[in-house]
Amino acid sequence: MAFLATLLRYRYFALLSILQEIRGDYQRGRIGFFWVFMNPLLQVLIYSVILTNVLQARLPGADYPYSYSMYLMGGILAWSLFDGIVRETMDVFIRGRAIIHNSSIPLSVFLLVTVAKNIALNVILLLIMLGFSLALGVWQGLSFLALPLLMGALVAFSTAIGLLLGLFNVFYRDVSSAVRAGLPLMFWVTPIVYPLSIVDERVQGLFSLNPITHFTSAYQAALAFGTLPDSRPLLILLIASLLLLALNLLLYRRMRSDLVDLL
Amino acid sequence: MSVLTAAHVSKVYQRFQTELHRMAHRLGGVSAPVETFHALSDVSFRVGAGECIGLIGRNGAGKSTLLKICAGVMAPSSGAVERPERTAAILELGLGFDFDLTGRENVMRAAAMMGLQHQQIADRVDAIRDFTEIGEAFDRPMRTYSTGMKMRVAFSVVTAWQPDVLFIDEALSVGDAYFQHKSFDRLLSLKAQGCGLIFVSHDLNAIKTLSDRVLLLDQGRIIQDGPPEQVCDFYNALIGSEGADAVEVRQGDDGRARTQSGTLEAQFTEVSIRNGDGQPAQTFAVGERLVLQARIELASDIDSLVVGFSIRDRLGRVVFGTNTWHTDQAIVNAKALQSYEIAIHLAANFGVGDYSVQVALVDRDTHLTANYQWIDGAALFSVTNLRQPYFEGVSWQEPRIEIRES
Repeated sequence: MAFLATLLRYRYFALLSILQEIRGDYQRGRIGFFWVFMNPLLQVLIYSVILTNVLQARLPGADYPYSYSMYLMGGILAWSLFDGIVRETMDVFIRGRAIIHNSSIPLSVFLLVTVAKNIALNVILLLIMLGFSLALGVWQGLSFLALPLLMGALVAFSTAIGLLLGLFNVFYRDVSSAVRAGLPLMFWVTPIVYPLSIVDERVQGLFSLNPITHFTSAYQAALAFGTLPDSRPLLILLIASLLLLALNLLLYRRMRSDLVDLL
Repeated sequence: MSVLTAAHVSKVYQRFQTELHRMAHRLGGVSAPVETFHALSDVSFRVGAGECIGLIGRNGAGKSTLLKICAGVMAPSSGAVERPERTAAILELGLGFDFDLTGRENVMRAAAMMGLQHQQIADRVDAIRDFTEIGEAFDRPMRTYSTGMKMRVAFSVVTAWQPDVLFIDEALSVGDAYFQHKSFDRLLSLKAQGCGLIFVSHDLNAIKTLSDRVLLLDQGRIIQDGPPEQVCDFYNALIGSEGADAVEVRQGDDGRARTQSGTLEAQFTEVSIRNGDGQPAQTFAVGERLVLQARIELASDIDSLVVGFSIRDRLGRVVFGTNTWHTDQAIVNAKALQSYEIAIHLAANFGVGDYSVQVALVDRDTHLTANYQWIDGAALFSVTNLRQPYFEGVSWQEPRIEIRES
């Protein structure tokens, strides 16, 4: 309840911060907002052109025009949400330093701002991608309606991971650098650009140990294959994420005073 | 009615071998801190509605830490602070401004940080701009601002809404005299409406002008809590001596506290105020001759001995003061057991009121290198206006006013 009261009190600050952060990221450019979405869209475009047209690759199990592009969109949509939330929640305390030292706004508000901003950007990206696919004449039925639920689970998962890393990062700044270096590696061991089926069957089991694979494949199912994703691993991940969030809260309570002192 | 209560507030900083050890300590208590530092120990005080508290102390005494804990930015290690909902603070110069944003955008953000909503802020942002008097610059990025301009914006936004308590760390002395006056006026009007104010400053004149009460912090403890003049005197004595032990406060016959400190290699055996005829006197007419007479004895050899004095008004503000270093009259190679008579001839060109005299024996222009003896409230006198036309203020001028018909 106290948390809700806090949120209510600082709701305008939260809104303002989200807007200023989005703008701030690309502030100097005249069409700044546009650049926020250029990266993922260009990624989809490049891989589509190179892999579909140049390498004549086909997506197994979905033999329709642009199926591979749809597959890429699903994977990149999930990945960019995960990547964005982890990167930014990890640094949320350090970036909020100046404000933390000048006001009694609880750190949780900053966390919320960061997560909300990433969700907002991701939803816009999703709408753009859906618009593109409609323009290309691709319609995979209503399976994309599962995306809000998937997004909820993925947000919980990413926030839990990012926050845990963020707490460690205050004490040990190398964490952030290590994660920054590790994330691109993660991208390539997750079936985003390639389908899992092209991987040697003996190591496919290893891939399912990577939790993000379950999210990307669920997105891909909904967007490229028009099927509903396998809910069991997702439920397990959701519960694990919520437990991890609770653990984070506990850790945070213990270290709260150190956080401000160290920042 | 008190608007803020700090009860037994302590702050302990611990240093660990590495930050990983610190984490381990927090999580399971496996590793012990290698060093513990008590930034604040058992600090308790209350702030009443409309009361202004000045916090003074040497660097590292814990002033800023205490202010941050009171403002709720930092958590105390033990103890508690009870504060109202509506508080405002300037804790670090700049309020966490984002210098890429304009003054206006930063004002919106800073106000939102205080828990205000869009409409409330929009209604007042122009009034804030007008108060800063920085004109067009208000809508330009803050990185183009001078320190003084940033300060103006910070001050204007935190005082734009009547807070219940306002915290200010050292910000008052930044900026030009004009804005300082303006901000003092605003603080006084906030006070009049019941806002409690706690501020840290090294500027003792600001402390004396604004505070109703002053807390002196030393090594994380409140060592004095009292009227501004008395505590500031004690502080002055403290920075001239090694530790708080050498400072002595005695209640004078008239109820005024006399603070004295020093190493006593040289000391005053007599300090008195006399009139032009050499007779001891207490009351002077405006402009009358006044002699400050003192006797000094030395307990050991001193290479350079400087006699200083200052005359202060009822609020403890220095009206006039100088010393024999500045007048090129330092006594050189003074020998032990030697004594000196000093007579300082002045004119009582002061406004009507009570004045106290502070005297000091030091080795050069400040009392920070050697402080043989320092006495606040060594003598008192008052000034009445018998012969001059009515005037106000602390100093007397002989005005020549010309009025011509034209």
